[in-house]
Amino acid sequence: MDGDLLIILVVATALAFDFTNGFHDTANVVATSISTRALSPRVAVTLAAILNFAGAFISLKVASTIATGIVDAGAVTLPIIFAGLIGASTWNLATWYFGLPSSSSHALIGGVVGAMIAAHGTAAVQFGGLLGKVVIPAFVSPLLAFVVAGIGIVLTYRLVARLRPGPAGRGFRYGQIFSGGMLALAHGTNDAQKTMGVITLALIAHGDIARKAFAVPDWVVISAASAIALGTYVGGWRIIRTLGTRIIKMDPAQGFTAQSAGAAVVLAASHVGFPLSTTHVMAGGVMGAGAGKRVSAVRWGVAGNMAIAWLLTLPGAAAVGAVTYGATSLFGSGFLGPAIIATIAIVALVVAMTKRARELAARPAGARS
Amino acid sequence: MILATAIVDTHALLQLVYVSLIAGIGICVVYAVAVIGVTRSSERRRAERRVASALYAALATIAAAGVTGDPGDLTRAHSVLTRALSQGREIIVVTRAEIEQLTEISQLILLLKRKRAQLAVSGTIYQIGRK
Repeated sequence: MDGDLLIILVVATALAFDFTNGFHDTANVVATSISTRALSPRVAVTLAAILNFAGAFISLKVASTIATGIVDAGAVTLPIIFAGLIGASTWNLATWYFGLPSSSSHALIGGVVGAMIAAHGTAAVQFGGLLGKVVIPAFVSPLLAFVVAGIGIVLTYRLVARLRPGPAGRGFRYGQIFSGGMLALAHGTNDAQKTMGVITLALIAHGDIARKAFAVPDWVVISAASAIALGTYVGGWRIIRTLGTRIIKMDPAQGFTAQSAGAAVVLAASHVGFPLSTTHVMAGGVMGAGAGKRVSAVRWGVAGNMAIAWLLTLPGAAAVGAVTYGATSLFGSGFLGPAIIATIAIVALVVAMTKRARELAARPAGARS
Repeated sequence: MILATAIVDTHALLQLVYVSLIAGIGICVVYAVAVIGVTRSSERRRAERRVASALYAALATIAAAGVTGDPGDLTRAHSVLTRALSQGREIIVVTRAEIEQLTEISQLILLLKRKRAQLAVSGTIYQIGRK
């Protein structure tokens, strides 16, 4: 009975995390389209939500990596997954609160790894898989997006150099509907699969799925796709501002190039099963598109703050995951500990959001962000 | 070095790198050519230079289609080209190698004029089954 309640709580927490992932990452997908006025905010967010939903059905390779390639699936228990999810959600919401675009994906992986270390020590973590499938692609992917966007914008400017700026800009604004759509599809493909992987891991721990016969049930795919799409629709306006205008001021050609580079990198990574951070990739693309035009156009200080937030994500979420696991285990290994932690987390979330809403309401209209 | 190779799936990582480079840069170049085609076509149409307008429109169509598909099955770009030919329109094919050699618009115009002249002499440049 305790196990059944716990699996329900874990699945609900995983879907809530998926929602926050969509909420947090809306910026990556729509910021450039909105900042170049290619799409109105509402249209951009609606399009992104629909394509995020569709993208979740494209592949399951990333889900397989999360479920079987990072921690020892045989040693995973439901309280570990719960603690990992709380660690990741806490990190996501904290970075959202401060307007920092950190990585939901790395928060999730960090949270689960931290809880696993707290429960079983370092032996239960597949550090080879963590390094080869998460850490190294995490370093390579933003650089790759930077290079692709940089070369792409140089060639684009060279080709359209003699066109009048008005019609050319209009052409690239139309193009951003396509490139933004591709990016949303790519985001749904890579990010929704991480939650699918975690829920599958929980089902393995609960004994619903055999460890050696990895398969993601259809209801998991549909529910993860729905949660990320809903989260994307609700959106994260505060982060949109950081990614869309603070790093560089973009023109439509740069927006198109940044989105195309981001979509190409994330879709290629999904194909080979790397759980990438869309945030890292998109920021790399935005900076590449800016640097390709003029290196000084990029606000490297803001980019540096983002890099620091990223570096802290894996250890930060791991620490929160480990502390959460420690707190839940104070109440035994059953349902009670996770239920108490979940209640505390919900209360803390409501308090933080109410405080934030009051702060925003107290500011003059022009100063809101 | 051996340890690093064992941990990192180099094949997957290389695949990520080259697929991203080809797809990302390819989309940007093809779309830029499509924007050139549409913009120039519209300018020529306003100036009542119908042949030049049609040529740029064809360039935009081909670029927008990405010249994808199977010539045998007449899918995508091939289908567009075949349909246009059957409607009596003139089609000029510009290859990627030719596009990559362009450094300015005047060269593109020269290329299109040369191809247009070839088209007038030979009757057609694009034929089904000929790449």
